[in-house]
Amino acid sequence: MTRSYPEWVYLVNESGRHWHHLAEDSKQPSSGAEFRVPTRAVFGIRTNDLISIPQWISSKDSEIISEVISMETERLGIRESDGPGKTSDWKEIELNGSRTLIQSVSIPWAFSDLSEQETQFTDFVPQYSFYAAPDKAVVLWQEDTDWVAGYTRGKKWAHVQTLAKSSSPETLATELQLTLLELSARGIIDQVNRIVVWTPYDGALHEDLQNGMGLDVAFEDRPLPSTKNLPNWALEPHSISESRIAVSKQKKGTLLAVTGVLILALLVLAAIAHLWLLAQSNDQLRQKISKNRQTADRIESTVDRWHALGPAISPVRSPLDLFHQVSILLPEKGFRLTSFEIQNNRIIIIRGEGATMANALKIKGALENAPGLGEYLWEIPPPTTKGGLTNIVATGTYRFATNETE
Amino acid sequence: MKQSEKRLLYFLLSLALLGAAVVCSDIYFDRRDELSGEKGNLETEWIEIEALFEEKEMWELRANWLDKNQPSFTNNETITQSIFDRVQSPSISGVTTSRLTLLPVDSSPYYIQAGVSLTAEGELGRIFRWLYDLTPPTAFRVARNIKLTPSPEDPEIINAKFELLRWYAPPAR
Repeated sequence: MTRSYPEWVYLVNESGRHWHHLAEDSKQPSSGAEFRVPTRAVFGIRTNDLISIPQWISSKDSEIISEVISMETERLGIRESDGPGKTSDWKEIELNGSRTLIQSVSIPWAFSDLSEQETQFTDFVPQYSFYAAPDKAVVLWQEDTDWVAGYTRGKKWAHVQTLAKSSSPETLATELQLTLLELSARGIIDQVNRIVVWTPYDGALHEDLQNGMGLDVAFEDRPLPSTKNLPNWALEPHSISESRIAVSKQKKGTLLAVTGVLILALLVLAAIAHLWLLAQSNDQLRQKISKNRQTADRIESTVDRWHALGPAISPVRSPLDLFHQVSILLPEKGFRLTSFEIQNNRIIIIRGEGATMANALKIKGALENAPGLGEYLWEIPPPTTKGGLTNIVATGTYRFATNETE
Repeated sequence: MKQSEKRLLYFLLSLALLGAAVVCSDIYFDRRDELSGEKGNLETEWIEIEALFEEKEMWELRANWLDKNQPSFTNNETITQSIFDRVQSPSISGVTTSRLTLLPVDSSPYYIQAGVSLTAEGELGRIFRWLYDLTPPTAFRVARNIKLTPSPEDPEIINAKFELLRWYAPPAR
């Protein structure tokens, strides 16, 4: 699957940093009134900001290779764990049986030309990767004032390095020769056919390189940068990852805060709606009650009046009926009622004499279970014996409030 | 603004928000409890009204019956004299009355009461016959604080001590 990149890349050439639009193949000045800085772009890492280490590794397993690269970079003092970014990555150049030739690239320090940029850089790619590598060649170009040398194996970049600041066109050949010898000795570069220089023609340089290296020298225009064959580099400085994480955290925090406020607002609305509904419901009920209150009061008044007049108009509470209800409970023989009293139309006091204790107790049970006296609560102390007779006193209290008790 | 200042600001804002939430929830719960309590009372009141309405016809009939049958109050002298006369000479033979004492006229929202305290003596059946005659529902008379005891001299004779009351409808307001 081809990875898609933003249209803009931020590159560096002999004149310095500049913006380049990939689709239109056009250069734009890095400053100016007309130019609007792109919001998203790919950052071209200048060669001076990276360390390239080509090497053969005796494995074709990418996990093992990654482990080896990690150990190698740690040994050089470049630690991935210094931050959340990704400061090392590698690309395969060639697979030879069980051995793999790789080029690892590390970005151990912060980029000076990354600060104060308004652009969001989505990818960080070594600058040279944007250019197609000439076949079996040593390539020379300039980034600002730095001379950079790239070495290719076949049509792949195998190694890049910034040449010493003190390098002059006269000493370039010697520096290139030494690196080439080392790369050849390690089997990283097996054949170099020519030297390609991506600068305007310089006769002295041409002569120095040809004489010093013993190779053909060609001055060519630098090819246009392209993402067509760009390897999928996974590099990101710690500072960028940190700011990305910070932005992400801030977004999450903002989202959380907004969600919290929204939930609170919803709760407040729900609470207000609930109170409003309760108040409405109460109002409706109040109106309904108010509409029927007069009739209900009239009925209630009649009820009260009826109960107040109850002793006069209700046969059930008439003293005569109550006496009848009590007298039908008495046994034909062996018990005599000595007193029947009703106080304030609500308390019945019965006194009697039984020939035997059994007779007196029978009366007790009969009073408590009599259906006609069910509205009275009976209190009957244990019968007492006097002069051979058993005396019993029963007190029944009307269960409901009456006019007298009110 | 510094990061620490921002943090402090967010912290204070969060505190303010939390405080507002606590105060608002307190107001809400108080108001909800108040309205719920009010709703409960109103519902109880409505249930009572509905219960009354279920027996509306019966109570209207009873109200009409009371209006029609309860004697109207005239004046204190008339009503006390009337009840005194009613018990002075019992209409049933074999029943005698004694210790007649007029009770003070009393009143309640539903009646004005005239009464007399007395002791009646006679056979149980006659006493009861007389009392039945005195207290039919349409007469609005009540025998209160009745105490029946056998006579010490003759167990067949009953002493009935009671207050006879009559309840008159108060004048219409």
